Amino acid sequence: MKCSFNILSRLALGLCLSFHASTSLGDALSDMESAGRAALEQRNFDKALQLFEQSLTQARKISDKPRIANQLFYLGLTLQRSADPTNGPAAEKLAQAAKCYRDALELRSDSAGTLNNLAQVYSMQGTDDLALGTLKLAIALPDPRQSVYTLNYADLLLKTGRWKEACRFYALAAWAQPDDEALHQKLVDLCLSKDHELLLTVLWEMVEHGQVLQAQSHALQVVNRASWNANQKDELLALVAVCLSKQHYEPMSFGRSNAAGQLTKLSDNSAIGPGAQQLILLHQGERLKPSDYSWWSNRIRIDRPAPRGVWPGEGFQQLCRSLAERCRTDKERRELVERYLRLAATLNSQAPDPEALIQLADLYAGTDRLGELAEMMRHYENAIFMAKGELIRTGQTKRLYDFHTALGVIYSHMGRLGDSGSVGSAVFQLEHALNLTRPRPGDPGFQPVDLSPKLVNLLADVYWKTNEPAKAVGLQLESSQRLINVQDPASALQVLHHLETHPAAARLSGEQKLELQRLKINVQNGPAPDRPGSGKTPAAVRFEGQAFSVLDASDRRKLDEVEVHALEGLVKDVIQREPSKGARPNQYQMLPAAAESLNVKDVVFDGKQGRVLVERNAKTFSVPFTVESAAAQKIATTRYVNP
Amino acid sequence: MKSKAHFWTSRGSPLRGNWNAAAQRCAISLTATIATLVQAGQVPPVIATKFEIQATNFNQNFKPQERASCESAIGSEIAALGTDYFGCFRWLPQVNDANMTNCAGTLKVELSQEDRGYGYNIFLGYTRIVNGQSAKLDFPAPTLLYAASRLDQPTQDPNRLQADIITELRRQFQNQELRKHFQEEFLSLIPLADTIEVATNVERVIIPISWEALRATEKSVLLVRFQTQSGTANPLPVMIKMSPKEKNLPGSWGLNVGCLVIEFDRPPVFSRDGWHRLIPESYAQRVNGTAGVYVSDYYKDYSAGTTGSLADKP
Repeated sequence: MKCSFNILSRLALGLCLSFHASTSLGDALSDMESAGRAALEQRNFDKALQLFEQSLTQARKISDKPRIANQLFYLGLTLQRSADPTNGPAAEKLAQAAKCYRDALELRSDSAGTLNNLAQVYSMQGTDDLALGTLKLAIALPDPRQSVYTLNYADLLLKTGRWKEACRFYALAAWAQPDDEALHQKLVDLCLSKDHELLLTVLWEMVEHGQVLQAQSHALQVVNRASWNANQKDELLALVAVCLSKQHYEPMSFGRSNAAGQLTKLSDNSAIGPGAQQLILLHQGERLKPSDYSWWSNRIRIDRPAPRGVWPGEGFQQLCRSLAERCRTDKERRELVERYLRLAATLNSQAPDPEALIQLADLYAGTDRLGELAEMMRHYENAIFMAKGELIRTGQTKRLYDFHTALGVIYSHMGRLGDSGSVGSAVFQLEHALNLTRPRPGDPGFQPVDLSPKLVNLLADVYWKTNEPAKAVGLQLESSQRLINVQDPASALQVLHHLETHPAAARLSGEQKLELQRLKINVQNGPAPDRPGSGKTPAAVRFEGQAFSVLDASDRRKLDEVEVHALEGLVKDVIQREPSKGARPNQYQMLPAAAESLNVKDVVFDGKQGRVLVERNAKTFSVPFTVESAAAQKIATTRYVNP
Repeated sequence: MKSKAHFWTSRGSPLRGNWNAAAQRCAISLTATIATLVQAGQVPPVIATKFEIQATNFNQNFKPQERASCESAIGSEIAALGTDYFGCFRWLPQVNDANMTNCAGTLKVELSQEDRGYGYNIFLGYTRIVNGQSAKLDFPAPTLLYAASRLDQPTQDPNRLQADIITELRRQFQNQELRKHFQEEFLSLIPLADTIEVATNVERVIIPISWEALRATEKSVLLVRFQTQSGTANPLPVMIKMSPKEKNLPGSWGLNVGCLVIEFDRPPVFSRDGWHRLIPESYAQRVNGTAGVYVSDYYKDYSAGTTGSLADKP
């Protein structure tokens, strides 16, 4: 009360005594705004309106545009909050509120809060499409409340009956608000009520975003529902295995956990009971032969990828590797590391686990047991090549990449460096892995794997060892440029540093040294990626196997340059993903609004290179990008020119 | 007074159940008798973050400047991750030992090594320092960052080390299970405040931190711990479990958070019936006049700057 009295006193001084020398007009207006907000908080709408109107009048007198916009916002908010049907004529107040917000936006178009509230007015007025369009603009702007606006957007979509699209936006908001269990529950309930299969997608996304306890709990809660078919039940148990693999509890304590209790209760379930029991058995670490885990070993396919997430058998292999990792730091249980890894590697003879093979190879090489590594390869090499052949035949790029990399690592440990023509050599396998990271313009269905700096450096090391320095240097310089192009400066720097610190780096040619320096300078301009869980809506989330992009406005909060990077990422994302099969018309519907808010002036193509022209503060920025395929170029041109 | 009563009863969801009735009963007397026992709007305590390279191969091969830069960048990243996920504390990277004398706790991430004969396993582990006592965290357990057998350990590449560690830290903080352990093993030991106010008339415990600073939803659980002593009897440990409830309290409580009691434990009394009549007396008889407020379960509130679906500010 004392505080309010002071404010009112200052107001009186400011307004009635032509602003006392000690109280500036700015201070008085700020005080008036604070008093108005306090009145609004107390739902004293009349008083709030009076104070904001007075403040608006004063701000107009001195033509203070930011302040005018603020007062218009607060006037709109007061009218909107007071537009309760039980508290006077709501429609009139809503119309006035909308006018205030629109006037505010005339002065300050980048106010996400104003756009959000205006959208809520539109929704209350029954013009939902207008509300949705306005909310899109709010989401695309930099604002710490971005995830709240996304949630509003999802609520509005649900209200208009577009529940599937609403699910996507609930998912986006949920990943930005990992602690909001109510929101996650809402998403789960929505899926269960509308399309329970969609829940499987949502749960895999939850796992990917680190919400492993929630995903596990939801999976175990719903798995006994009669509506699931056998495959879906298998998938739910696979989800549980993957969730367990991403945790860090002591394996021996698992039997006492809630999860183990829930799995025990599933024992009577004829479809998944054995799988549940085998998960408990695995943690005991006593019986670790593939034949003890037939439920899991029978549920892995090499001829096609899992429709979502991973096959149950792959999830089980992942859990084996995780348990091995946990035993690694326990001196008493270290012998289990190798046993768990061997179980993962040999669970299914037709589908060896490449990651487990790498770890086993590292283990044998590190403990000077190269003989055992050779023995392992004698035993499994055929199976690995058979599996690899099946992956080539069925075009499973990522899994094929994993096998090439595993073989490359194993052969380099065994000293079988070889050359590009020898299948049983490190060079051959690593080069083939590298090839899978390159786009194939003539093959629009091909999805390249992300380029890894570790792969580049490993292959470069092998080239140095096989006395091919030109290949080593060329590979590292070219790969760095590729990594810079895809906005991964940290990885580019790793490759460049690896090259720079190589003992033979002193022998680089003058041209190579210049190129190295040029790339290092380019690396400095890369934006840092967002941390997860920061409350910001993620830039993209995979949903139903499709890419779905939202401009991550938080990237653009500081500098024009950063805004440009965000746009570049967006354009690249769309161009690369557009040709994928099954893309739906609404897949990129955020884009025009986002492009508009970024003031995109044009998109120019010149062969494979393109650039987006963005206007900011009367300056035009050119944002370069690379077009990965002709089909994408055509689509991108159609969509982007002069939005 | 009329407008105050209106304010109390029209706030919607925060005023539920007993609180509504209690508030209506006591609103008038409250505004007249509020005592300013608790300093309004205290800031949450500071947690210092630090990264230290202990593994000798990395230490010896990095130039001092490279090492310092890498340690500083990772220390800042830990502080940023802490702020993102556990916003009820103020996370600051430790620049030097002197600037952290007033921090409530320190989280140190260490790059350590284990000699495997043929090379070193390189681990990333956490150490907490609370009340001058240092202890390694069991969870997250030390993570094997590079196996001894790996030939590509970045012992001469601070950039790659930094990138690898930041990736690993982000992955760890994103993991819900690890956050839970992290909360239990470290943050729950650090007092958010060393005093409370027992508001008998509204049956609430008031903590001297604003909602904006606490950034916790009602699902979060706070604990108050202190010792109480009646006359010459032996001191008894007291624990009050509660959840943050009211954002905006009237009068001099305006900047503080009102908490709803969930559980009260003062041997031999143990109650899960909400407010207990022994709470005021126990607190009044606390030993040394101190109490600690701790965060037991933390759920971040993402609604800052909004009320319902509306933005509060442009």
